[in-house]
Amino acid sequence: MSVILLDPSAEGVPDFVPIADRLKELAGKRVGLLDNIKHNAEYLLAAVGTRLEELGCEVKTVRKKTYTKIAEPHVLASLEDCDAVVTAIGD
Amino acid sequence: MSCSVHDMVEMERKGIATVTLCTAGFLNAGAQKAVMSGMPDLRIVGIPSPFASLPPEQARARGLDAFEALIAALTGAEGQ
Amino acid sequence: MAVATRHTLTSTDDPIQYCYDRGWTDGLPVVPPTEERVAAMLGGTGLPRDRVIAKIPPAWAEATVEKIAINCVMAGCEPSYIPVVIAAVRAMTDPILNLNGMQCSTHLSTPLVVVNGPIRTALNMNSGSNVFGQGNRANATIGRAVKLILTNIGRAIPGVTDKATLGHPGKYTYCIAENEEQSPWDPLHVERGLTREQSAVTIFGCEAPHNVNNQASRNAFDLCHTIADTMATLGKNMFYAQGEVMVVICPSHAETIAADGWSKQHVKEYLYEKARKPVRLVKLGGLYGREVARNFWPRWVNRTDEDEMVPLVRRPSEITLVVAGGPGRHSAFLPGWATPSVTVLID
Repeated sequence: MSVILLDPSAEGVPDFVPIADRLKELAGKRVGLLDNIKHNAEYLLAAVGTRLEELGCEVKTVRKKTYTKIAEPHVLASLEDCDAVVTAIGD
Repeated sequence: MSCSVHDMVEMERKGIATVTLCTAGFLNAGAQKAVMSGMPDLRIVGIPSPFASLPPEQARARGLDAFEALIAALTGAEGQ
Repeated sequence: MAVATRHTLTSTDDPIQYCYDRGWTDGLPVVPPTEERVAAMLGGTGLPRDRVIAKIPPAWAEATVEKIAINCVMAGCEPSYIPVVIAAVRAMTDPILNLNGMQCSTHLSTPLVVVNGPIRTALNMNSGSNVFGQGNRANATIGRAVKLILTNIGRAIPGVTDKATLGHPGKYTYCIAENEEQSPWDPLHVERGLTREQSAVTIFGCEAPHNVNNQASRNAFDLCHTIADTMATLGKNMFYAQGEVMVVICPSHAETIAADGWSKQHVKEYLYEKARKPVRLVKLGGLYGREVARNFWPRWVNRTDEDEMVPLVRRPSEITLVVAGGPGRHSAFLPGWATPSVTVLID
């Protein structure tokens, strides 16, 4: 008689969600920079922000309260007027 | 990393293109979290380690080094 | 939530190896979760098997009573242990504990299970000698079931989603019972508003125990000074992001402290005042090094003064005291992950 074992793990992959459309161009776009306040993230994002501005982007920098949690709702809401968002640093 | 991925998945769901920057050792964690979030195509760009211990000027330099890959991920130009 | 998948093994499959091959273990062999064993485990609770107790991060997958029972079987639990594990799952998924952050962090904290009340005796749990060590089935398997739930359901996979740089042995199992019988004070769950007749689980995300060896002190001041000094070392999370810590006091130390008329509150106030280090030293490391302005310190800490003493915790109530252990004079300090412990009644 076959042995049957019950699965202890998480089952079912969430329904696949496609990513948003990519930007067709950069000039004139507003790019949000979400700093998760991990060490050195601000310097990396500052350099990225300067380069984006050189390419004609408007840059907006927002900081999380802590990198140990997901961003507060008002922080993400403040980025909803952006065309794109870059975050750093996963570490 | 997990929290950063969660944040960017939320932005992508709102129709906003994102890129997550992480140190190279966390690329797999980010990819797994993206899959678990149902968004395996989330764009994540790696930065060489070590990073946290660098002086500010070198941290800025890492941002510039990764800029081309970052733009490619934002515009969908990867592989072109 | 669908019923757990049934895996039918071939005649040549070894059930223990099958579990290894599926990545369901913690590196040690597990008890294969057959239909019969899971059914017996479910007999330890009156809850329906499809009831969702919580979602476990970072996958945020549903921990049903059935999934919890399966992991309890694998850990080696008796059916009478499952109510403790269910309560532990409720406690550790309280948002205030930030389990998602803890699961994925490079820090080595992991949930500690502290059990209070009559259930300790009913399950023959260990609250005495070697309380953090091996040998007791209830302590070992309740703690292990919690860890298997975190990895199997939560998908905190070491090196992948669980980025702990070092980890610690408590990630195999980490469960103690408070030694209420030899404590001169109220047990933890009574401090938190329950009665002695009720049973409870407290979950606290923390490091491995740091020993406080004090053989000589015969008064509360000297003894508590030793504890405070053990607490205030530079590698502690708490100097950079204050939050809850735990001190497990052995019965002999508790007796010495209480003999001087000190209550738990007196101990907490003393440790809050004395477990400190000057800015001059704290700025040598931690999260932000010499960029002291970035530390998450209380406003009243003058970070421009090199002699200012930075507290380990923001207030005495962030020090949790538990009495446990056997004969001897060793207590333990458990640094946290900067989120609070959570106490839940065991139904």
